[in-house]
Amino acid sequence: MVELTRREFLSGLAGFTAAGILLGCSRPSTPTPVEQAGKPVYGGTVIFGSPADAEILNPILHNDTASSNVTDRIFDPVLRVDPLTGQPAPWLAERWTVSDDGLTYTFYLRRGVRWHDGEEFTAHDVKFTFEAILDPRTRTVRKSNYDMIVGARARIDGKAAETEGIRVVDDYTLEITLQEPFCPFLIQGMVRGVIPRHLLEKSEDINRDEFNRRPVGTGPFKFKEWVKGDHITLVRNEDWWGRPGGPYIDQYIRKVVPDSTVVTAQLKTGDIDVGSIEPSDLDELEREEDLTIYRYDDLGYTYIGYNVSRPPLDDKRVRWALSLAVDTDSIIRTVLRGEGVRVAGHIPPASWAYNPNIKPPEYNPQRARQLLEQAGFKPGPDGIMQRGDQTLRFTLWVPAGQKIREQVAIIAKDQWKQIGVDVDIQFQEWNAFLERLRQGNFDLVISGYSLGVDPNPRAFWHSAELAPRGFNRIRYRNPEVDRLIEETVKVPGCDPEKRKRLYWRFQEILADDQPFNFLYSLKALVAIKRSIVGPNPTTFGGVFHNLHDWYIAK
Amino acid sequence: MTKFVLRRLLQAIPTLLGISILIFAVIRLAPGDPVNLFFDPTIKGEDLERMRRQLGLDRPLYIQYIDWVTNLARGDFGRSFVTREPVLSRILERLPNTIQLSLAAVVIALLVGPTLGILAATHRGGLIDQLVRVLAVVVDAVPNFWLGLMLILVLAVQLRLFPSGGMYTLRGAFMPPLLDRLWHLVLPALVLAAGPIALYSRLMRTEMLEVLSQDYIRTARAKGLAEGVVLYGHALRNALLPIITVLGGTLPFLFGGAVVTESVFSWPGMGRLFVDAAYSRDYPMVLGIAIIASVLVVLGQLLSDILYGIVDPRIRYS
Repeated sequence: MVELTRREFLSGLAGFTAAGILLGCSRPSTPTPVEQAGKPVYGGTVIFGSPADAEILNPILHNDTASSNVTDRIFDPVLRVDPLTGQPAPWLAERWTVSDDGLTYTFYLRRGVRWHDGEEFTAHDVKFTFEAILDPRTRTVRKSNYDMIVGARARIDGKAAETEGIRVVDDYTLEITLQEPFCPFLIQGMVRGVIPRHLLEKSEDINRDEFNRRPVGTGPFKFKEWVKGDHITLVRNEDWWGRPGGPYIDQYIRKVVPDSTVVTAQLKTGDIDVGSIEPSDLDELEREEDLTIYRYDDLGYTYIGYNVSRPPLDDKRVRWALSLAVDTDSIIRTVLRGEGVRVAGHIPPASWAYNPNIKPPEYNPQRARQLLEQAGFKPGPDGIMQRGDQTLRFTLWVPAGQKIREQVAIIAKDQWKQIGVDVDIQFQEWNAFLERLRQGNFDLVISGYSLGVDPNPRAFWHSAELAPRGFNRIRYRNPEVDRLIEETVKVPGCDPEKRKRLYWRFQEILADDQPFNFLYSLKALVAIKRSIVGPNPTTFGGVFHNLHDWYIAK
Repeated sequence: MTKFVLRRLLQAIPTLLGISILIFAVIRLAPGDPVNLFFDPTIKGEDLERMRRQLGLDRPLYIQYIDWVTNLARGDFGRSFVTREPVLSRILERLPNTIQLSLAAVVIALLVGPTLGILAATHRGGLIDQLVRVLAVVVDAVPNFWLGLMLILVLAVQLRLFPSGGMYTLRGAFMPPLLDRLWHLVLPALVLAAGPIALYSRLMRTEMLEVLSQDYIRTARAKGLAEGVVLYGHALRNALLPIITVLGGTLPFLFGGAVVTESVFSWPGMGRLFVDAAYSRDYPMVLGIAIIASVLVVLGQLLSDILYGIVDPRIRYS
């Protein structure tokens, strides 16, 4: 997820997909006695209450966290994101090798893995999955995740019936050849759930197949029922390859609870066992004896963005002055109730590529004012700074209904006033807000980004991705940043240390340029019933990565 | 009568066509589009462009409208952009839940509203009258979502008398399914009924007072009829007329209320489907629901006109 949608934000849900989260383990606010108790017991149901219903239960088609929360339990990927380190780890593939030139990947798949309908899983299923994504008729935004594979372009454009670079060597060996080295390939391409060839090969139209609402996978849980708008029920897959007997719990239910207030209420009544919560509900829920609160660092962050294509925001000194004038630390203390981390750049502390040497702008209104004066601004008759015919009056756009961001906007407006900058706040419905960003119709904006597990920042900062086409919505262009972004993905041997150095440099440039006032990364907060043993939410795995290990203490 | 019904149905066609243009214009002129909600740092601009093309959003608006409306005339509502399922089957899946909720609300409103109105009228100026009037004003002024949240907090969370949402118990139900269903229905139906209760009670009070001052009531009393017979046998029948008139008008109101109530109570009905579709700019879904809702409203009004004629024989269909 790149930007947190309104509903996700409301529920503080952001983190639980693969794009999720870090710093190893989270810690429960208080240890539960049963956690030491030991022997897992079978049985019981875990109910997760969350605002959104899933859209479509096919991992190659969906793009919402609700759907992936369900399909991640039903389908297995070839590799998974290690929940603790964020690195690719064996899953359906027991191991893999990379050729010396970094172009050919060979995956050795597990034997004896069966689909929920009893058919055997083979390398043909993996090839089928990627071919389906690249098929021009398939309506998915994932095609470019695979466009570096040899022959993928021709396949996307409908000029080839098959992708040359995806080769089934035998039933348990798959070989993928890339056009050029692409370091995030494994974590971007190979962690997607594999779909069954035998059920979808003959599909008239995969976009509309009944499979998408009655999925069949190889994962620890099997699909049971989906009452649209109400709940989805999954049951234990006793024949799961990962553990004889399958998961300990009988059922996992994802229940739609449209309002965060009601999530809190249902956590208290016991109608749901797991729910994401907001900092404002913390005090209330921490008092509940039946609940444990887990916190973990999120890969997302909230920012105030400057439209660098609009004067005088194209002047770095103006941007720095605006950033220095906002007291982010006190926002974290008060609005976030301490449940956030200050960030200084695009890559937050939870990521391996984070550069700890960059310091965020310290709150300093005097310095901010000096900068404006250096830039030639003087207070006008109404106290608002001006330079020639330019007056520092801006409109700040805020997504409506996102309580925390609304409060941040109000505080910032007040503090900007102190340095002679007049800001008008406008709230707008989420989708309309995104359209405004896409069209570049704004001065200042509060929004959020969430990084993928791989920190590749191309989508947001490369000039090839300028809005309205791509996600670079503040219209940032910097040739050196472009070059660094391109280099990081093709470092010889994908040496993490070398990639890190390039990312560090990228963060330095961005922090100096200050196209955003990078504000904070809000901790993900989740409440789980105390009798449930096993949850260990992490930055990279989210809440449910080890659901198959959870059990309910008797 | 049959002629009247047929004519009314035919008249509905241009109305619906007008509504279709209006709704299409409103949703398509609202800023935003379904592709805006696709996010992932691994997605490129070209993926988004391709998606817009695949959804047909790159074609001129009027062509998109003509396409949609011609398909609609053939009974094809199109497919959801989001779930890719046929719009009509998605709506039909949810519609019964909304009808169930609305019917329950109408029944509650018809039982409670007029009763309060009669009580107020017969105790005119007294304590009961005051209470009923204050209640009507308060209930009418309070927004549905707030009333819903308050009922959840007090009756569900604090007192644990009712469930806090959903249509049935997912785990460990302690009553038979039908009762469980009704038990879940109480709070949302009550919230949805709040507006109509206020309306009906006020209307009933006014009408009742008016009717009670009529000559024939005085005659009835003079004949020595029991007060109960006067009230319920003579006065009520006539005082009910305006309630039946507004009954048809309550339908769109109920649908509007369902949008909010269903969201607060996690009730999987058409109202919430509409809200979700509007946020995600699932155009075919938004349009489909709007059309179905309009049809229901037209039918509802027709029904109340027919009912009106039945209770008041002076009304002629021409």
